[in-house]
Amino acid sequence: MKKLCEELNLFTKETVEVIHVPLLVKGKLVMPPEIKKPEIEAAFRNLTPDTTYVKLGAAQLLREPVIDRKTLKLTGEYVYQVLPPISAGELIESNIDKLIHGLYAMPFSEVLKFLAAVKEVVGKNQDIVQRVLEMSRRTAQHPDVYLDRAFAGLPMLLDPGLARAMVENELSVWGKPGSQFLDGWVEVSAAVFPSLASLLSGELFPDQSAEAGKARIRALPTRQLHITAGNAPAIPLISALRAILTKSAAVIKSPYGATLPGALFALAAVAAAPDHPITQNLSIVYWQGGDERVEKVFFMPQAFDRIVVWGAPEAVTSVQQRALFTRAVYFNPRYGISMIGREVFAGNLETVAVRSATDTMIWNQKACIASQVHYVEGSSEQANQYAEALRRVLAAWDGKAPQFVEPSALGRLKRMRRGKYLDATWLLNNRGEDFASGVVVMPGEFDIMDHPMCRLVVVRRVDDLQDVLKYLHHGVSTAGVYPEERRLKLRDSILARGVSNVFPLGQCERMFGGMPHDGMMVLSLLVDWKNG
Amino acid sequence: MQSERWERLKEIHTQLIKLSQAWAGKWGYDPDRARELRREAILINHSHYLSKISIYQKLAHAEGIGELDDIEPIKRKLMSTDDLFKSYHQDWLDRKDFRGMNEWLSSIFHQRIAIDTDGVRTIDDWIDRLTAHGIIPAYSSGTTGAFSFVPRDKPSWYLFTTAPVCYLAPVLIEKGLGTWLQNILLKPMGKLLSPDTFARAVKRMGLPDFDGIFLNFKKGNMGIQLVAQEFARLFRISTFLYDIELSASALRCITRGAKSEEDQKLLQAFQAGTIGKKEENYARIIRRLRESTAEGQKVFLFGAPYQLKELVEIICGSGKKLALKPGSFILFGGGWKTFEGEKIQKEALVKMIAETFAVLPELIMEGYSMTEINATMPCCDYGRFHLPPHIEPIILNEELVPLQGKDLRGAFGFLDAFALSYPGFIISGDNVRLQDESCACGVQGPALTEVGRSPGREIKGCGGIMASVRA
Repeated sequence: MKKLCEELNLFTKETVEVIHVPLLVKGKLVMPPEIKKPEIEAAFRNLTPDTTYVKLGAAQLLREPVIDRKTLKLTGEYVYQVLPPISAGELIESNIDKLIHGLYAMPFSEVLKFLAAVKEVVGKNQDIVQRVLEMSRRTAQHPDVYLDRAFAGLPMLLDPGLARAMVENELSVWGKPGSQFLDGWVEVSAAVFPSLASLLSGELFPDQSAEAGKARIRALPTRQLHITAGNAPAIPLISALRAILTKSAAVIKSPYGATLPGALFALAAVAAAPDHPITQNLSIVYWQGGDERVEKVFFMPQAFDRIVVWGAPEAVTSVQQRALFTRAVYFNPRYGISMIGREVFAGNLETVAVRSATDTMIWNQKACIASQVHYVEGSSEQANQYAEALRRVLAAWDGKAPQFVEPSALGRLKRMRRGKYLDATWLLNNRGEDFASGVVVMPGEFDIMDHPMCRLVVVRRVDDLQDVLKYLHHGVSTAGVYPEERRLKLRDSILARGVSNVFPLGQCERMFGGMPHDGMMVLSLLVDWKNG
Repeated sequence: MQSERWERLKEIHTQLIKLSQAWAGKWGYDPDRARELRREAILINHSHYLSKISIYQKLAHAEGIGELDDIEPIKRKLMSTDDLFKSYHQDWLDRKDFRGMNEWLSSIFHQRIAIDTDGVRTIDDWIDRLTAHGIIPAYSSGTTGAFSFVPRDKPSWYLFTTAPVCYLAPVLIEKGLGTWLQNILLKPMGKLLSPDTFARAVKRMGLPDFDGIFLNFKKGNMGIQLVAQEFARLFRISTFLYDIELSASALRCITRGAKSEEDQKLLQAFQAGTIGKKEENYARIIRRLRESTAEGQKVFLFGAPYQLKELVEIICGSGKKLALKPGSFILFGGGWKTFEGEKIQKEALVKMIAETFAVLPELIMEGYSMTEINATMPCCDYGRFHLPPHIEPIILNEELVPLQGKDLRGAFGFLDAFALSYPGFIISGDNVRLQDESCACGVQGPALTEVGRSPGREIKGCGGIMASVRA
């Protein structure tokens, strides 16, 4: 990795205003042209301040606003990224025979070796990882501790043990481990029904008709396009991991705001295993969402076998409308809730507030499983008591993980406080004059579209936790419930309404290899189950 | 309000209206004097809201603000958003809980509303009941059917209806709408008469050589409706596209769905009178346009952009032109989208109207207003919506921090010196460009040169939602 960085002049300094970001195109690192800052600034000069992307000659330019990590305010400066352009046609793999005899034929054990090699390389080059982390920090909207842990957690994502657990469980059918189906044809002990046509044929032409054969199943890899989101830095790497585990010839789109982790992974893959079939069939790229020139090609029938889309509604609807003939896996925008029974008022208030805050603070309330609304069973006075306890816990989080709040979110909060929700009870923690975190007790229903998702918890009082059921639907991903007896009693009622996860309060960021995600065993959807 | 303060405020209002006439008529306007008076009125209003309007008290208390001698803290911390006027619970209206609505309205009004709600079954009944007790709630409807209600008492209503007459009269006279006598008398009347007397005189004189055509309902409390009703008094005859009263309840049912059999009947009656009679109504309007022209009358045509587009398309579709008498005038206002969400370009619409009706483009004017403001701002020939002197404009950035400067872009907010009965320090849902410099039209002071809606809600990654969801 160090040698590559030196050769390509990559990630050499922590504090840079212009970062040249390579893309990975079918195993090759492609560097952008060298462009100096004055030229880049000129390209953005007459555009609106919220413009983040521009094309300049043979380069894509991104700009991200710099955040002062002490004051957690925008400085007015930018960090620019220069990326090479992409040619959508080049990224599509149409040589199916090459895949059949190469990547698809590779045993799963090779996938594990690949991951182990990449993990080792990352482990040995922590100085480079650290530099990329510091580059990311300048513009990262996540609190420092989250960013630090995300980068520190990279080896965990590359852990072969996790990979094996995912494959063996998510692709397991007929009581057999998933890797067998990835490796080739698996005979299963099925009673094959004689078909009507073959019975009739046998009557007509005895001794000449075909015999009933054995049942054999294979999980054939597919060519995948992953369009990822940036609300949590791990998302692009989780999606890439799924593509790798299913031996996919994959294109991973990094999101705006998280191109560097993808570039780091690309660098590690090329450094660790440049000739490995996985590396040779992997692309990690960036294009501006909605770029017709790129997406028209990617969304054509047969370009990919699977499209995976995370997050942003525009991306989801765009794929739904345009990639009509390609099977897609959608991770729709969703949110989490907490349900707190009246038992909390029997002396457990502080502990429960700690747990519910934990569920809220999943990726600083940006993740689709983070709790946005806490339903509290009790009187108005009790709901206010709970809200106050929660406010105190959030204040502690502010100390541990001070956050940057986007100006637009601050504006939205002010609009809420001074307009539609002026009659709510606002319990806020401030840093100086600015919002840091808080709780708002709503006297009535609340429109989730108004939620700024910036460490603000909406508390709704209910007479009975059963009253929460009418607010549940497929848009709610996760419910954390207290106490355990109530969770077990309500679990199926909650889940039947479209919620994917019902966990004990405080455990909503639960993860394990082979876990269903948004109601899906995702790896199983990424392969093509074949009969042969 | 204490009587001395109230007297002082009335005096300021009178002076501000006189100044607005001078401002609009371009006859010796003193902007410094206007600023001084406006700010004094704003501070009196602040004091009044603080003592009488519970929601304002709550906000001020939360910000640790009491009596003031400077408007800066108001700009930074005490401006409400226009959502304030729809901060009631929608299910109160669904359940016809008008007592609950009264309680809510009391919180944004400067008096307790303790009106009996027996027999009140619809929003229209509620509005009528309030009006009968001297509280006139103007409303506007958003695309979700969540109405904003802005309550005005009689003194506020007087300002709401009188002030625009006073300062729009010079604008319309300059456009050639007045008679030769009105042209001569306007300036001396404006200088000599009190606003009340002037407004009554203007209304009595009217514009007798105009017939009014309004692409609205003949009665109703919706903001744009009220403007139409006020204008309608000025003309020889006035004709409305919908010869029925605009029912707020029916309008709400259109977007939110009928919740009961009663609502269903209301909706059906409304649809029968509007969509059901669309061709007939437009035919009646077109007939009236032709008749007025044949009778030698000029026409004053008023409507929303999408309605004018519809009217023009119907006329053009018939193959027959409809040239109005020279000097006819067209005024439009409201959103720039059709019912289907199609965006209309202003220049294209003006061209269509000018060609269809043979009206000069300078006699086709756009007006900008909103239910929450006591002002109507006509667009001058140079494309600027000039703000009358009683409005202190504030432009805010996305963090809702007030900006300073002469050429600003951001959210449009204002401190309304004429807002007595409700908190008139408001951040609207519009994003604008405000320029405070001389305009070639001769009107002084700040003007809006670009008006659009504030950016919609941004979806925040995975936790974002695709549509409005109750939680």
